[in-house]
Amino acid sequence: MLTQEAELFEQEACGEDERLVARVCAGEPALFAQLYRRYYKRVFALAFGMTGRREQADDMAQEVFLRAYERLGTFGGNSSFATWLYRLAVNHCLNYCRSEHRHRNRMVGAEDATSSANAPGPGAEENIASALWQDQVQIRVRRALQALKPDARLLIVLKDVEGLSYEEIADRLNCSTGTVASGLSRARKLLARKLEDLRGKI
Amino acid sequence: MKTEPHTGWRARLPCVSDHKHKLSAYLDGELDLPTRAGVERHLADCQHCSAECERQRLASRAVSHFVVPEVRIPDWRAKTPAARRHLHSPTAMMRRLWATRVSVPAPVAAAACLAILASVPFLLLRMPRPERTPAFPTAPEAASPQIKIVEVPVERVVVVRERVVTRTRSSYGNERTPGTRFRGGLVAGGAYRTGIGPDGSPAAQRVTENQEKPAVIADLAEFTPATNAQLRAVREPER
Repeated sequence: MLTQEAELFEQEACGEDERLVARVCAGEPALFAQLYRRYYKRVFALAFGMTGRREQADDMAQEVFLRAYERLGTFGGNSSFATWLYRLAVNHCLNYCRSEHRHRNRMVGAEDATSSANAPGPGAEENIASALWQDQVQIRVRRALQALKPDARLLIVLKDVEGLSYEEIADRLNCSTGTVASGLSRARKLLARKLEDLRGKI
Repeated sequence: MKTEPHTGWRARLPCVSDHKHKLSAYLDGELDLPTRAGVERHLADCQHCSAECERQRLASRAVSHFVVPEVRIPDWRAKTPAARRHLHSPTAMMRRLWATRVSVPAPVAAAACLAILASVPFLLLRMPRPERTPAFPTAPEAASPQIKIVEVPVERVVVVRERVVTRTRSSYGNERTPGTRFRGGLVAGGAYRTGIGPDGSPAAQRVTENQEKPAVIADLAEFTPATNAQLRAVREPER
């Protein structure tokens, strides 16, 4: 049985997304919900990586899909639908984060930290301590990411959070792999300075 | 490879090798074998780059702790009205406009404004009269949900209406010579589907294997009489 990621790849390779798009444009708008359900988590993950807040990421994901729905007629088929949607999401997140960065709105809520506490049992105190430490590291990493400029943050999110290759990132951002490599190098240098106190602890 | 950070004057000496720009790609395994071997040799000799490599590895490892929370996919229809209000609000539109602005020196901006104002009368005189063009289904919500499609294989379709071409490239990407008269629309055989168009009138839509931009012919009268009869003959039993 294919995993979800493998299933997505199979569907992209067969052009099923493109056929769905053609049917939506031909007068079956309800089919767009299938594309929405298929790609929502990926878009949400990108938005969450850029904003660091669940509510904002949720709102931004909705806006991305709404823009995609409104602009579906401009999908020319030159790239896959996934790439087209991702580019739209990247541009939307970047524009939002650039204006937010200028307004210095980089607060990360402690309630956004995802707790990894386990069920009580033998060694429960150690588990809770470990979970709290993980939460602290997460908050530190998110604050450090939010302190970066949006363009640098985007490269880190695409590479280290989403796990895309340099070629895939270059395709999404419409630039060369050399640009990705140098940009990522600068971004990691800046991020490392902000996370200097975590050296040796993770 | 564990190294001690530099102190004193050594810490201020930058590395001048090209390899320092490849550290990120080296960590991500994006280098080919010869380049990777060259970087590894350099790291064995250069403490500065070795320390920088460790710092970048730390940064990458730290971000691996970044966890995207599990999310329940919300209902598409329920969230659309609120998202649309926010997306098209004046504040959001101004924000998008401001985010994409380009900095231009004041004299250049002033000269550009004057040039635009001076050319307005000229452009108004040269502006072509707008002509009615078929409605393309660029907005999916504009199509009627009650559309009934019947596949009709048609040998040849000629759109009778003519217009003067003003653009060098049509909306389908085909090259055009400005000033020529073009029998606009679809001039080809193939399969067509008929039904009700976005404005409620009878319409036909071409069906192709590689459908980049489906065009809706809004008026069946644009087809030749023979094609019209053929299409009508198929549609009649549907009424």
